[in-house]
Amino acid sequence: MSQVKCISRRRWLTGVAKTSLLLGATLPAVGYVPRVLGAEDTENPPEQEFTPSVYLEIGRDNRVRVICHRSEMGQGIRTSLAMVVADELNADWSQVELVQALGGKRYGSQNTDGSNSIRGFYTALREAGATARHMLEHAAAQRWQLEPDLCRAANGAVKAGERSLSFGELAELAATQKVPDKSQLTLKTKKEFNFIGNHEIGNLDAVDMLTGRAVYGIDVEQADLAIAVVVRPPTMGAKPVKYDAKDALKVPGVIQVIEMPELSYPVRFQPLGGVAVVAENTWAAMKGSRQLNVQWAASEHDSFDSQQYAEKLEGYLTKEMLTHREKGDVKTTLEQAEATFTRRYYVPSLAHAPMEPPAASAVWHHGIVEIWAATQNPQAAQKAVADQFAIDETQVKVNVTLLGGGFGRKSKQDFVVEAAYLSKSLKRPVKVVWTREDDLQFDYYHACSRQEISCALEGKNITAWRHREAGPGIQSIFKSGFSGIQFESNMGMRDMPFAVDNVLCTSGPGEAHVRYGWLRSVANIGHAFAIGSYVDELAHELKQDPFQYWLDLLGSDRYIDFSQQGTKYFNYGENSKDYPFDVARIKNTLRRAADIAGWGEPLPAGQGMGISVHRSFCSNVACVALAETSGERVRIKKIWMVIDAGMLVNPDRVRAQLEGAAIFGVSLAYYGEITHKNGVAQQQNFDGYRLLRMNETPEIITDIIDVGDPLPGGVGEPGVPPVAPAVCNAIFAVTGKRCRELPLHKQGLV
Amino acid sequence: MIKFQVNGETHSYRGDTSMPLLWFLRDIADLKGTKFGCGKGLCGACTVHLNGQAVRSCVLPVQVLDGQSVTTVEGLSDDAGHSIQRAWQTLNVAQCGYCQSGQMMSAVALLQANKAPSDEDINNMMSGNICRCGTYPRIKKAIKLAADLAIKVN
Ligand code: FES
Ligand code: FES
Repeated sequence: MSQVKCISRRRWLTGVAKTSLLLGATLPAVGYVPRVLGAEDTENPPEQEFTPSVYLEIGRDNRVRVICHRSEMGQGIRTSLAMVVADELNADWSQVELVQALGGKRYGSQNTDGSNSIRGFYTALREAGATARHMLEHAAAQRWQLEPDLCRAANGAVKAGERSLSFGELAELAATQKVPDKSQLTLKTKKEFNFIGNHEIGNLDAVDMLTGRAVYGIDVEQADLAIAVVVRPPTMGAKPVKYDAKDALKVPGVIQVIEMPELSYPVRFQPLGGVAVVAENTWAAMKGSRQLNVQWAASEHDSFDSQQYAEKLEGYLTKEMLTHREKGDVKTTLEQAEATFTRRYYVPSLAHAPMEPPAASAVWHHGIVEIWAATQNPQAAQKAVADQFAIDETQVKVNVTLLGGGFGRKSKQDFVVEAAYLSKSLKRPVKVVWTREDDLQFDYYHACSRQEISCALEGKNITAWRHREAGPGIQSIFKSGFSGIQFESNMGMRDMPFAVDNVLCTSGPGEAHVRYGWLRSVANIGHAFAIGSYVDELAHELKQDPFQYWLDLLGSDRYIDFSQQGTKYFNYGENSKDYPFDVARIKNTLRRAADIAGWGEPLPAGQGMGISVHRSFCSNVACVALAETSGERVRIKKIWMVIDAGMLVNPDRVRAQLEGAAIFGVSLAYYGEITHKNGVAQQQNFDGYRLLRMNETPEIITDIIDVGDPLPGGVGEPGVPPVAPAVCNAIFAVTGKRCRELPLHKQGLV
Repeated sequence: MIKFQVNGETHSYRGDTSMPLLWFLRDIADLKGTKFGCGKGLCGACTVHLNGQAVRSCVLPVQVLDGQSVTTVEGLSDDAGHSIQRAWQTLNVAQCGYCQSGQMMSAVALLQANKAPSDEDINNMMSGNICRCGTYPRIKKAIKLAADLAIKVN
């Protein structure tokens, strides 16, 4: 590993930015191969396809350009990645600029999900910055004929005594320096950080966002751009048999009516099919689409009824198809227990509903298709488009715009392929715009989940834990006919952290009649809801304080090695040395939340508190909710969110993510539900699929725990899981009503 | 032909007058700061000012606009120097930013009518604007900050 190549001079001269110092950093696991690439448009991608990098470019103009390979969807990643690079570089913040990377394997994974941008690239980016700093310092040493040790980079310049040269002045000479081996790099200590961990770094995209200049997927403009609105089959797989193209074409501005390719299984990221209306402007396309009156052939999913399906899942709980964790003898322990306690929970299907519905533009020229898309994963977009047209991924050029929210929806590339298809058919640049109705009806939904937890009890000790689940899973979009969950059990089910001798986690079937996909924190939502509610129920049953009981169940401070606990645990792709499953930190997070919320102190009549904690994406988040009755109903008045995500790069954005996660969690607990009748989604717009609004938003207090861990955990997702259980536990505390099926609104509770 | 002002400039339009102002702004006038979120007046992403009042441009057909004056987010300032933009920036309100032009246009209209809004006033005005990222707590703070900034300026 860590073999370092010198940047070849020739490559320098053929590169696009001839006067810049360009550096690449690689994924820690792959090795460190700097590349000359600022060449965002390079026609000659580097020979090593796997070289995954984030790039840094320092121009003669003294600008430090950070090439951001991850998608910005509100998590602040463009700014945060730049903070890491600029810090190790000792740049001046005012000289930092961002360049958004095209899709390309050379960057390593660009799949912006799994709360992995900082976690996955923190070290590599620091090394990229430190490498550049080293080379700039050596360039200055050469210029001044001094020992490199005497030349120090600070605030965008290298200094030695009175002497000073800006990075820009040194860029050319720095590019000729020997690239240091990793062992020659001195990474900064935490105390030396200027930007990492700084609370006061503003968002680099703020001014664009606040003046309306920021370009999202839906904002892309091209000469001669046509706009398409697609009428998709209301039931998955239905084909159009008849439609009134003529009526649509009569709408002024409508250019053409184009039938989309048929959907085949597995659905993956293919377009759903249907009929597109392409027009000179969005309004004409929308209006034309309403004139189509498409009649659809029957589909095998026509009878899908989510209500009946949810009931059917009850029966599936006992059809143990997969065993996810097995330790000891649960069956016998349950049979012989002095007491058992069983509860069932249900979380319905949910929609992502990013504020910007999916949107993508495409144009073909000379066998190359160029895309502009609000995508969370430009590499998956390349692949999906290449697969559809049987071309090479290198023939698909993907520009990533800002995303008006993603939450996992924009990891799925169906809308991108639609744009490519329509542009090819029309031989003209086309932008596909999804309406809100499209977004809610044709989502890759968060899969509904029925769960049952049973315990054998000896006093207040749990001697056996059985967790059963039934529901459809994400694999169904990649494998035809796949039934039930699979890897989802890694997210809160297998990794149940309580010290229990006998554990059994199983799942039953769950056929898919719609598309399912990952939504912010994925299966953690359902698992944390079930476990977080169950612990609270059990605590009340045993007349224990729920917070204390959580601590009791978590047991002694220890690292859990799940391989000794009857399961293989994926730990979000991290090894257990860097990211141990540390029970002490879970407890610590929980304690802090209880502490700042004043848990246990007397509350006024009509108020009650609920608590929950959950580890996901290698971070711990605890939530306390305060519920208050108002007339017949309850509302959540206040929420405390505490995170231990290890090392934090951008604390203000971490707080923002916690605020957002609290609202996302309350939103889904109150209102989140997508239902289907006759195969058709029943929620059309924000009146049917309600999201939390300002007047319903509780006060939110956030707190961050810093235990001195040098490595960062995930941030975007782990805030969501503990919210819904804390909310329901608080509602129980104040009303005595237990909500085991979300959403609360349907139960008449909020 | 319909003639109306957008950010002080006169636009004349001869096309389909059933077109909502939102799509006129975005597709015809190329002012893309005003966003599409629902098309049904449910989310506020498309909020602009019509003669100083906050309106949802997605449900406002161009035909009613003859002689009227429209202000969009682009009309607030070029450099984010408007007090509402400064407050938004100071408190790092935006996450994805997509809803924020609508949020700011609602907030500006609120502050024009009410120099020192209470929490309840803010809730009343702002609850038509959805933010999926969950920036409401900061929006609330930023409106109060903007109110202070505006008072200082005057
Ligand atoms: S787009 Fe106009 S209110 Fe939603
Ligand atoms: S900031 Fe993303 S929707 Fe409001």
